[in-house]
Amino acid sequence: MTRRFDPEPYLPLTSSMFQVLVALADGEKHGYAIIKEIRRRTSDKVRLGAGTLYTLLSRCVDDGLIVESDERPDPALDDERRRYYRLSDNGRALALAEADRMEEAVGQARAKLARKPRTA
Amino acid sequence: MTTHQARWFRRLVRVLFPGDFRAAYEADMTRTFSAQEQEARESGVRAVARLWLETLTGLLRTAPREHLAQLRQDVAFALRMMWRTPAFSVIAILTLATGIGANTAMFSIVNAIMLRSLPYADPDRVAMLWNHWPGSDKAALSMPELLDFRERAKTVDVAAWANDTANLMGDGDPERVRVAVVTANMLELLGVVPALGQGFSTDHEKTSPSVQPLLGDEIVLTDELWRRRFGGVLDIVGRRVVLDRQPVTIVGVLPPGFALPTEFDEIERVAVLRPVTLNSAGQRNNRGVHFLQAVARVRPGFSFDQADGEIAGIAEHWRAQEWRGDYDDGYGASLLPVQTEVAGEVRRPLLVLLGAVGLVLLIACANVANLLLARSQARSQEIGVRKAAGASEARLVRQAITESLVLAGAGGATGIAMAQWLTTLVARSAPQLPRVADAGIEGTVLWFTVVVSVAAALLFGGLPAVQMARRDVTENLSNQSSRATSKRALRGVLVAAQIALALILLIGAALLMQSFARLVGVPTGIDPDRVLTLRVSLPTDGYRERERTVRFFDELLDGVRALPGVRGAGAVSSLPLSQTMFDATFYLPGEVANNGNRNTDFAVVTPGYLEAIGTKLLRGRLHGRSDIGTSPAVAVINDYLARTFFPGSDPIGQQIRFGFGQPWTIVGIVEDVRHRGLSVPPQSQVYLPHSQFTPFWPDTTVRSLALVVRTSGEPSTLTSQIRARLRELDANVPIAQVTTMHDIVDQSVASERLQTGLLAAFAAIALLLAVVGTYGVLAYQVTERTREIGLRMMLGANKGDVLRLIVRQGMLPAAAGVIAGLAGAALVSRGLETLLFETTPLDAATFGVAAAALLLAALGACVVPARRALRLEPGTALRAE
Repeated sequence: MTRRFDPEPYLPLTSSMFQVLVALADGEKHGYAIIKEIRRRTSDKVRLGAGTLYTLLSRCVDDGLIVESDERPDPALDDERRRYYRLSDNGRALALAEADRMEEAVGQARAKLARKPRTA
Repeated sequence: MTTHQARWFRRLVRVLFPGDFRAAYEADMTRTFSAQEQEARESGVRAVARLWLETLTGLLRTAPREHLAQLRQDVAFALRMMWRTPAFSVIAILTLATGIGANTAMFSIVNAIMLRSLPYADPDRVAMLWNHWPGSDKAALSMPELLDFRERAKTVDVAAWANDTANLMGDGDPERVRVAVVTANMLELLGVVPALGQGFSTDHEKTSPSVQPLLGDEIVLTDELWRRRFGGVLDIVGRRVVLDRQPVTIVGVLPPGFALPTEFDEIERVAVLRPVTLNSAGQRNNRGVHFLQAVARVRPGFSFDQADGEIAGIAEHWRAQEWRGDYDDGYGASLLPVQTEVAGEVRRPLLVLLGAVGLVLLIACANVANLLLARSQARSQEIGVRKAAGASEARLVRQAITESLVLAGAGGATGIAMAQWLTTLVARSAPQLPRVADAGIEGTVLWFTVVVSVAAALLFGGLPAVQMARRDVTENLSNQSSRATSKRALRGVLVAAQIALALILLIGAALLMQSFARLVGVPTGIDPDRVLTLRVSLPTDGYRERERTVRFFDELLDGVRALPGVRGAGAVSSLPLSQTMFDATFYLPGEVANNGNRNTDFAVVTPGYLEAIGTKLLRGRLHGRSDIGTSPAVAVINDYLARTFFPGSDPIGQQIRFGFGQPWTIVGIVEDVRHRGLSVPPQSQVYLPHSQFTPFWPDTTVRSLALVVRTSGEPSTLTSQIRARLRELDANVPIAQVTTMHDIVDQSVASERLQTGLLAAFAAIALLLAVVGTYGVLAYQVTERTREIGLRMMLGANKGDVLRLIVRQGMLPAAAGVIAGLAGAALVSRGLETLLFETTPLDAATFGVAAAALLLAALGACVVPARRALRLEPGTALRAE
């Protein structure tokens, strides 16, 4: 019987790791596609280098958050075979847990900021 | 297609990232970067530059984390392996701890004595200035010589001191303290700044026109005296105390750890510095009275060699021209760097011991290497599975080395605890070793331990790691090796190496033990059994005249002789093996004064001294009560002086003269006494009566004498009675240095005893490690060859054949090790020559006995595995896997 995945030990995620997990949420991608997806979604604010991306991918693969897929060419690019990665169930659960955490933090911040400060 | 820039990217990845990571991701990373680079090129040069900046920053940030992650994995794995094999881990850690701990302890001692800077400013430019005479390479200076050096030398400044004792009164009971009477520039020359107050006034640097030098009324205390006697109070500067019944003012307190250059190996150091205004008269007759120790600082702009050359030149000028006839052909003067002065005598023994513990560590490493080789065999299936799953050789080697580093780290940490204990033991057993009290586990020593631990890990772990990684996958998985023979040969080489190194240590220890036995058996010229000694020092005030001092000691000794249990008593200026004698030039009958020159040690004695100390009279008579101040001056000489300077004639009745005072008629010849040390052959020695001797300076009589009391019972039981007798004569005079002659003799060979004891202990540890290592390897090989043994027995081999097989396996490497060890010992033992006393370093008997003992021990190590092999049943053995 597999143990239920507990995302708590991983939280809070770094911004880069969260972006990588979210980039894979809608289907498997190769490394360059992940980098492009993140740049597009964050309006070029988050730019990952190959070194940063693949060390993240390596850690996520070791922790079972991401699964390596087969190698095949990307017709949109060239004939070179590239390895594809997809999000595992645990990875999806972790990304959702981080999104919930951030949503709660944003909600608390908005509620507090909306109140007027107490005067002495 | 890989572009030029992508190729550079790949090179960077190969340099920065670990092998496992590269194997998995290098190709993909390169392709991704290539696509990024292509996109950036379309946007222009700035985009490409930005891409490279981001990529480089990312690589440099993330690559170390990958290495760390792998290291954490490897360390965790190593700790799991250690936990799973506790017996192996404990044995390996304790073996390494012994080797690393011994090295750390010895290094901490070497560091304190030889490497740490002395407590002087710029100590490399400070040196002792010594006279040389035939038979004495470090002799004191006379007052005229000091004044001449100071006036003529351009390359050095010179300061000097004379050792004295005095009774300190005020703020407590009278206490005898050691006083150094110093030239006023002493502290400035050494570069020592008082912790409180100041040094001496420059008024003291003017020379005195009087015949006698003037003692100043300022004193500086050492930190130890200030804390012990005065409670470390801060208002000590300006306080008045009484020194030998003269009021003096305390002007400063020295920093902790201060010692004069020749004091670092003394247990009792000077407690007070007192300045002197020198005598400029420099009378020719007093040129031969040597009592000053001089220290020099090389002036800026001059090198040490230049300064040494100038000093030697001045001395040569005296010898050959200015004082021609006063200095014989063997005279000279030179500078000895103060670091060499402090550590010179112990340098070689310490380096020998450091080498010895290095050998112990090598043996420990060989032992652990053999353990690892055996363990790698047991882990061969695990390695095979990992290799089959894709682990590279480099990865496996890296992990194995990490395991070795973790073992060595645990061994090093345990070794530090052992080292602390060993260092404390050595410091307590040998307080006479210079600066040994400063030895401890501090920064430099800890770094040394880290370096030694890492080196040990690479040494014992490297070969097994490579061996394990290079095995074929199929060999690993089937747990069989086609290279079993070469592995056995490797283990045999390691056993032989351990035996060889252990034999070198064993022979070294045996040689030192023989030498020590001969040293303590050498005829000393005294009989130290049941002899109590203690020092009595009279103040100047009340005892200025010689007759008063002589009467005091006569009455004291008469009172001591009357005590029950006392068989004899006398007193002397300097005890054998404890304090240095005075020395002076002397002239033989018929020689004109200042023409021809020899040096002799001399001591001032009371009647009864030579009998009490047990020095035999060979001819003539000893000093008696009739030898008083007004009767003809008489001297007793030793056999060496008689044989050397009166060959073929009888010295009795002849006269000798010193560089001062009246002629002395020789009335007796006594046996030679080994005054300077058991290993130092006796020199010329003269004994002059206290009642007839007048020194030149700093006193008009010798007021400090060591009482020597021969007893029929336990010597220490008389101390309180002697103290009572002394109090009856003068309640303000304390006694000091109460000890027995037996303890003094023991203390004089404490260094030799320590070095012999330590080397013997290291040799014993090495022998144990080597024997245990031999046993371990053989036991393992019996297990490894169980099927083979069963097969041989099935094919007709009897128990004798099996026994011969096993014993040969153990004894062949042992024999090879013994041969290599004998050759090694023959080379290395020459380095022990200066440490040996009347023992040749290539003593055949010692070599033979040590080799035989080691072979016997190795044979003993073969017994248990051989008996186990003999008990094997063929059927059971063949089924063994």
